[in-house]
Amino acid sequence: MRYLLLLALPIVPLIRILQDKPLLPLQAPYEALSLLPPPVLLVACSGSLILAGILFYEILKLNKWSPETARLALLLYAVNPVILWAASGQLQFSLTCMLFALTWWMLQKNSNLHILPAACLAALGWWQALLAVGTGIAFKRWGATLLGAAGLLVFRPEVRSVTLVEFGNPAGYSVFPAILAIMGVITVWKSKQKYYRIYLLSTLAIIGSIWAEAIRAAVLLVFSALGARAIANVKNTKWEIKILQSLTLLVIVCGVLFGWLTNAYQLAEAPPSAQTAETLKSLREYGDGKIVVPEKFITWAQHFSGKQALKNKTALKTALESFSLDTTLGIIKQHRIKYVVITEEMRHTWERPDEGLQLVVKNNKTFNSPEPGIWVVKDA
Amino acid sequence: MIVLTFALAGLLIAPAVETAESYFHLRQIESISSTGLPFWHDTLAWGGRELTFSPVFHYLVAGAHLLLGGWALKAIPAALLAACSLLTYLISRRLTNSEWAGMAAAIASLPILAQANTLSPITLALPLMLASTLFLLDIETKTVPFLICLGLLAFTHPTSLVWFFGLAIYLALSIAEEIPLPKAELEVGLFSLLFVLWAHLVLYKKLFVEHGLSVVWQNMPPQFIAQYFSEITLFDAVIAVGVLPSIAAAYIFWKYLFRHKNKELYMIMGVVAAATLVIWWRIIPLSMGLVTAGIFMIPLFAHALHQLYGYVLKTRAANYATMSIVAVMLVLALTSAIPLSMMQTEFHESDMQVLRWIQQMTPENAIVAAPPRYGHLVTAIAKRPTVLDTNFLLQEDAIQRYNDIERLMKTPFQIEAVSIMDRYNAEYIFVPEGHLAYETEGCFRRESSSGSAYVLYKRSSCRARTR
Repeated sequence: MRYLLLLALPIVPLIRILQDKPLLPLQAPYEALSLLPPPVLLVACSGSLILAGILFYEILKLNKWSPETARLALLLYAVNPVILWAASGQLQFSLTCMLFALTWWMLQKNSNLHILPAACLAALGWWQALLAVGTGIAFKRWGATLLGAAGLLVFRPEVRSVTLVEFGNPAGYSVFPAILAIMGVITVWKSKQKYYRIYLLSTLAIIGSIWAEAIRAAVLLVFSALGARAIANVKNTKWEIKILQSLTLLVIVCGVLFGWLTNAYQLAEAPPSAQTAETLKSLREYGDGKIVVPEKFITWAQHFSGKQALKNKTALKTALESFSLDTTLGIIKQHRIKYVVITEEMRHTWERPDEGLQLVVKNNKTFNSPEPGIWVVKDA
Repeated sequence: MIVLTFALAGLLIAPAVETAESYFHLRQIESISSTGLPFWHDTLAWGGRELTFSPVFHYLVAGAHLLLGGWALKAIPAALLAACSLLTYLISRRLTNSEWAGMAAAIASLPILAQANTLSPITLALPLMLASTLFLLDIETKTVPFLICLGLLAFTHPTSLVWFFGLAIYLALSIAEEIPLPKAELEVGLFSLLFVLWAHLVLYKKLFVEHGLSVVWQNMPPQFIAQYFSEITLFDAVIAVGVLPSIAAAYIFWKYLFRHKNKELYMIMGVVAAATLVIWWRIIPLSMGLVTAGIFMIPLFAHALHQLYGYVLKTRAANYATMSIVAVMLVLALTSAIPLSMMQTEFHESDMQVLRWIQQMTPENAIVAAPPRYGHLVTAIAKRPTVLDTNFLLQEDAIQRYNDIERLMKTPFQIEAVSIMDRYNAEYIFVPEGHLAYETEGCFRRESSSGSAYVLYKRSSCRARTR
């Protein structure tokens, strides 16, 4: 029963199916689709996150957490907004979460097999390798540390700053889980001497996660655990003003749910839209040739149309922004472009409706529009 | 009752301050009065736009409007500000245990309140901030009234965040000074923080998603920010909030930060510090910041005055203690006259005459281009669509529109003006002052003028060729 809520993780793809939108939101899942077809990718992500949740609960039980607080932590994990994003096709994040939890669980169980998930973790990327190093140091197990260190030499770190879910970043932190985590730190501060190594590494992980998406997978578990301790503290402490205790718990529940709902909505509304996907899919029936779409849409264009898109940044920028037919034609010839796709969603790339390529494609001596959103370059 | 009557009479007699935003609030109140609902989609401004705001104040005034008619538009803000005067009296009396110090505070608050006497949600936020402070001082017995005020405050106006910031400073100050905080206050602090965050996230969700943290600058073009959050020197700020309250507040800050400890004063000092910081960081309009800082300085002033009285009583001039207080109040009255005399109405009757002409003589769908400050007036008085106003939130092309209107008002070239007018399908230009260099050329015709304000009509035969 306690794991039942974890089944709600793939809610965003379900909403998107009901809205006739492509199953997966945002770009990253489409980059991974060369490896796995969409349903398999979804199952892999959700499965990894569910397994991570189960392992997380087991870890807390191994650390002698009361069943009530451990359940609360699992609940906070399941309703963390970033989980919704991860379950919508973010394979690397989901695997990081699961492998980190598995490594931790095995280390807690004193199993030498922890080397296997640690090695897999270190093989995912630079930041994941750093996680393996940190986990190894926390448990003084040098095998995981060395494997992680090897990963650090092989990969290069990729830096992506994080903002808040409430500020429109579906992969970001959410205000309430973050505040609960701070409250949790205050609650557990008194045992800082005993667990100083874990506290120190958690602090470093939280700081690092501002720039590293992968580390946020581990921080997600830390935040859930700290948040549970904070809520348990609010609930179990004797309050001077009784009504404030109930109201505070109510606001916490509303705040956490608000972040979750905000992200569910954001991800359900995220691009690509049904129209963009349909327009691009219809290009499959046309002959070979490169397509031009705004830079943000290249991944989707290639995935749905099965055709190559113009990726040369300078040429693409000129093609999109130029008002001159001659300049645009020059790029078209040079890069053997055959199609231009501009859907309603793509029009937001330009500030005005009569700007750049939007205006140029109106020249019907050069372009022919067989269906809305698609322009075919006429043969010279 | 004396305090309340005196304050109410004073504020009703004083001229109301007209701001661009007050005309937006007027339209919302009119909408609620006639339909029961505010409008969330403004069809007149920016060629149609979505709005995000809290309508608590608008419902309050619209309710009174139904009972009192147009008089409510002046009476409700005045009554709310009069309540501020009463609340400063109660807070000051609570801090000093002195009836006359409370009365002095109530009188001293009037010049500051007169500066806020406008049709704006800040007139509701101010008494709620003061009431929350008063109830917080006796939180164990006043929990329910405090929670009601807190709930209303969080949903009234974003300026309320200053109070919560002040509460955080108060708790931090008390901890830093090692003053044992009652458990109830920590509980209130935690609940307030979580509740206010949640309320603002829910209310302004769209704005946060669209603009992120830069929502504090309200998506304003950089050139407009410089005007809106105008810089102020320390001297100007002291003059605006009153010379004596500023000196008294500075003295109390010095005394209770470095010499003595007083937990109750820290609450008031926290809000003053918070308001000062947000003015300094330029994340709140100057007038709102100064009024908030000023009104919370008044209990500090009353406290300093009470101490002065106690000090004089201990000297050889004890017989003149009452006289000294009267003298201070006289100096206060004289120095308060300076900011009041500097108060200017933002708009002139000539502007209104031209706008009324537009309403009567132009087609209903004619788009009027006007400087941003006059955008709300065009929609409220002339009831015509306009290109932009001072609410830049959720507008993707805010900078473009602002620059275009700036050029429209400054360009010497008729072709550029026509091109900008065509871009927004505008037919009229409202010019509040000065004159446009291109108006004598063939495409434009002066239609109506009053004082320095006039309106230009662009002939429909003049059109700029599109590229």
